[in-house]
Amino acid sequence: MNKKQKLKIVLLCLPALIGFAVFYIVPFVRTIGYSFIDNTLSKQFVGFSNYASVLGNKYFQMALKNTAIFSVISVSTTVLISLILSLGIVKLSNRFSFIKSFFILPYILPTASIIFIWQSIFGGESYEALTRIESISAFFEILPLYLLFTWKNIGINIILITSALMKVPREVYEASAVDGAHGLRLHAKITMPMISPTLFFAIVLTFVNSLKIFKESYLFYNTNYPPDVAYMVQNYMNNHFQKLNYQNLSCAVVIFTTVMAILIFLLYRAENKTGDYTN
Amino acid sequence: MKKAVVVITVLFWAVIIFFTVMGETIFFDWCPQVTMASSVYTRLEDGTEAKLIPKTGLFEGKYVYTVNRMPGFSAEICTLERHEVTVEEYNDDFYVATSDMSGISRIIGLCENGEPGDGVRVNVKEGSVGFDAYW
Amino acid sequence: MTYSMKKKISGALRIIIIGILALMFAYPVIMTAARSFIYDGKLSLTSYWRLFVFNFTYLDYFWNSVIYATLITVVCIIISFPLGFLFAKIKFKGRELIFFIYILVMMLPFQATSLPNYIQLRDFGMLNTRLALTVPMMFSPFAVFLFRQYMKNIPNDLLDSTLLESSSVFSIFRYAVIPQVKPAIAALSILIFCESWNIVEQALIFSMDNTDIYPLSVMLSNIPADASYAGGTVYMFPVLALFVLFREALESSMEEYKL
Repeated sequence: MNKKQKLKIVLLCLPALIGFAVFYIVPFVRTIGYSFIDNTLSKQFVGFSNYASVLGNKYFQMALKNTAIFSVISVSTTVLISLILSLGIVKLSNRFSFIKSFFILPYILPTASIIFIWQSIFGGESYEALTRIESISAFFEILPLYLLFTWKNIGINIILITSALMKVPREVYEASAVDGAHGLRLHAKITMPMISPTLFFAIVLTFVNSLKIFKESYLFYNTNYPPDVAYMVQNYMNNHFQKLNYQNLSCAVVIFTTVMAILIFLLYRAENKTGDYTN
Repeated sequence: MKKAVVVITVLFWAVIIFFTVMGETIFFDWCPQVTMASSVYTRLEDGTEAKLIPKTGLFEGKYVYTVNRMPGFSAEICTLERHEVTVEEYNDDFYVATSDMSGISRIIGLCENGEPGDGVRVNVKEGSVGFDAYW
Repeated sequence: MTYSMKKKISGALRIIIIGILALMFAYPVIMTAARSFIYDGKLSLTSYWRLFVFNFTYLDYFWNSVIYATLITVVCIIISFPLGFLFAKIKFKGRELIFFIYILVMMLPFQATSLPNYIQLRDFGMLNTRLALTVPMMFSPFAVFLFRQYMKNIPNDLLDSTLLESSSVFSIFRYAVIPQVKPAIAALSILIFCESWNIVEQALIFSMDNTDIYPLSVMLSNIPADASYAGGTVYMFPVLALFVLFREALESSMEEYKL
């Protein structure tokens, strides 16, 4: 490809790049700026004192811990279940393949409708009694949230994974079926690497969605201060947003982003390695 | 299967477009149109005040209607409420009410495009009936 | 039992189990749609009549949502396409770093950028206009991310041979790239449309003082009870229809590459 063509392509990319810079990069930089001042009126530079207070805040630490646990567990269970279901669905004959569409319905429904149903299932007296048992209360308090997230996100993962699985040549499936007992190992060693770019995408998508759980959490628990075990970083951010405490909010954002950066960097390295392997 | 989906989709959009264009008109026109009666009183021989009811505002010889307004999603929803009264002739255009009208606020003076009834949804038009006739 | 009998039984079992699960997932949709056709215990369309006539502004909000979602989806896909190609196939210094920033920013929750975005929109004079509810979302990094993933798999020989035939960038896109990423375009259309169709926080914050331009997703909870199921069903319909339509496209383009 010669220089002229490359230039033309870059030119075509300009709208996306400029828009991204204006609406995503600039706000983020401003946010970083806010994290170093004491409040929006006097705008005095206070160095890292905001960070110290945020990191030392026990609510923030709790939020960080909860968010990490929630993301890891929800993403792994959702992707795993989707994978297993996809392997089953992909073997269905063409007549029944429309069943896939049913799984995505929770994803496209308006959140308010889903919450209404969820509250009626998990709001009942008997369930509330379970949450009062001291030792296992935390588990039951947050279980609805996990179930809600998994239920909502399985559909899109199934769509993605089944499309990728269908691209795998038939011979691989035939081989694994004949081998019977060796099927699982064959899947692990051959199928997985072949669908790894899509799998990576599915994991990233589910992970991004797990960070957006705030909306559902807020509607389900119906309060800005959910039970301790469900208090996430987004709750922390939102509460400070409402209190107009932007400096703490901005600190939380920067800390959050830094953690994300490390995680994504690791994931990204992993994907590049397996991606190059199959290419 | 796909054909059915396409047909339903086309129907859906046809319905949507129809009601987008006609919805508001239907809301206001597809119901009885009422005009309120101005509150007109007269002083009787024994000194008490009595309310005058325009002849067009009395239905079936004994009913008058008031309008209940409720805020709705798009516009106020007005429904009629029926009250029973007794009346006597007063002049060409009015009856005078002989029963207790204290609980009854503004009544409708004219009802077009449909029959009034208890709970019937109506649209209240501008203007009022009865004042000119009185003077 | 013979092998083929075993296979048949396991096949039937598979369909039953997956079928039951699928119904569990579809239950809320089916229930909402079913209830919308019942009024006073009888099968009737009264609920819809009340929705479209008594609550005639419902359709104004409906069209708001349609405009926003369609605009955002179409524009986002068009402008992200070249950028995805850039990240996938054209090597330049710092490419991986910039792409990494893209993914990073994609992860940020809305609360992180909502305040600076609000201030910026206010400075641009875009607050309380339809622009505020469409323009920021058109530049979502998500589309670029997905395009790049799919485009990475395009064989370089295909690009080279197309280059031999014609030197126009557009024909490369048209003949070599677009056919290869059709599933991505289908998937993106559904995902972006869905996300824009369901926005709530952006509308509430960026358009606080102008409720006329609210999308339907925000107003849905205000619909009176006698028309609420009908309102919900109508709300779900475009997304469902889009999904059914595109699923066919998604599957058929997958078929093409089955070896």
